[in-house]
Amino acid sequence: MNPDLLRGNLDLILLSILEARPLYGFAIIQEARSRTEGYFDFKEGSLYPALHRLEQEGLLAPQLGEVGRNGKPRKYYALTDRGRVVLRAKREEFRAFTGAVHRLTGG
Amino acid sequence: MTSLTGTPAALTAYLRRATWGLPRARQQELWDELEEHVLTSVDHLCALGASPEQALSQALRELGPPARVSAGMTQVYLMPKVILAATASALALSAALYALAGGNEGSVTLPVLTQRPAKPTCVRGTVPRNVNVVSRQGNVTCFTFNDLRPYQGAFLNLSAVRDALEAQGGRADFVNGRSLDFRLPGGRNSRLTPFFTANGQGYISADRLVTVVVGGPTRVTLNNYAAPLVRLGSVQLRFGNSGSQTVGRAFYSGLAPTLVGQLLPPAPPNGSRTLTVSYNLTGGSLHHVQTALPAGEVVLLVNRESQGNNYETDTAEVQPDGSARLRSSKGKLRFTSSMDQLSPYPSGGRTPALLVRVTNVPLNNLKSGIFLPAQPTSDAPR
Repeated sequence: MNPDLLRGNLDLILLSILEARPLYGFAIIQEARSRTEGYFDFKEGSLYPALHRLEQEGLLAPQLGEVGRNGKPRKYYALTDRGRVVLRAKREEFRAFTGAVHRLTGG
Repeated sequence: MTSLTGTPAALTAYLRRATWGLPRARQQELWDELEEHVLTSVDHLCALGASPEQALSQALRELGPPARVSAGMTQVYLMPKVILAATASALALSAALYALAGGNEGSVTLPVLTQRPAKPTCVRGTVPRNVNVVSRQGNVTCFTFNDLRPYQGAFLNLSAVRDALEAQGGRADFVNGRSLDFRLPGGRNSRLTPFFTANGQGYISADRLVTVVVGGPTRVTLNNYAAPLVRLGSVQLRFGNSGSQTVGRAFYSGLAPTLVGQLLPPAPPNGSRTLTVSYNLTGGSLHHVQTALPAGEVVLLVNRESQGNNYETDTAEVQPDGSARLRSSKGKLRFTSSMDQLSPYPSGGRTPALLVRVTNVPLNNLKSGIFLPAQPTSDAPR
């Protein structure tokens, strides 16, 4: 997996994973791995700054969940309405981009 | 229940480093979050057969260097929001997305281009020295300067300006395919015409953005030298995010004529005022002026060069000790408190000069930034 490709699309990937239901960090990584059959296996250190940034930008909202392994509630991330709008726009953009690359590279 | 007993020292050390530098509340929240992540990860690895020690080691490795985590978090919580400037590529985010994805508070940082493409200058007849001749046809010679300084400056991409203005509640549209018409919230219509194009994108001098807005209803203030922060009413733009003396120098020197214009009485509405403002990048005499201003403020020095509206200027950043180093062609200065006391002719061997604080002062009342230093004169060392 090319890390540069991941970097440019991290937001799209995270917002997509959270579209169906809220998840906490560890579960997001597992979901990414399983839904892409192991293709997405990114360094977890880049996950939390990205999640926090998306939260600061209002695209994700925090929710407290069940008590975790350290006795404190797990922090779940839920997609906000604003997040849904941005996800839609990013998907469109990605479709346009990959369509154009496809036509260019004769794929 | 976790596979580990107690909280191992390695985990505590990791969490301390990964949450370092954050505001206290954030620090605790992130600590809990990362700790929970590691412990869950350890349980999973133990279930796959690893020993608790091996599992912890691997879990921390998978989380990546703690310094990188804290650097990422610091960017989120402690630095101004950075929005990637629109480029010609298909991945450019539309203005609507910026408005959605950007925050309503904080500033937008625009990348600054510090050197424009060296487009050839063409002359008839004599060609200056120290140039690189590009073509010669009959009497006309086209060349570029060997010295890159004429091409240096602080330039902004007009598409990035448009996106930044729209993200903060302004309206901006390209007209004729090249100029940008914009209106700030509560402001008047203004137009920016590109100074040059590169890769099909128009660029302006950063100071131009301030010049077109000053004099209108919008309140304009400046802050910072190396990465200028410009407040245009409710819109906040930062030029460059890494701080560069080149950017500061280019921005403030380009703005000098506008700043001097703000210190003079308003120009006659129908007439044009001839105003010549020169800026001392090098040469002349270097004056060390002691101010009572805090470090980081920017100071303008003005003196009259000759009869008529001919002024020379320099700007400098106030150092931690309160001093500012400013150039003038005049070696002996006497500081005054108003523009009309600036005569090009020395009296008592000294040329009158004005010192003005230009940061954190509303530019439509720049006179309020005029100050007199404790030492009323300055002699530049020979």
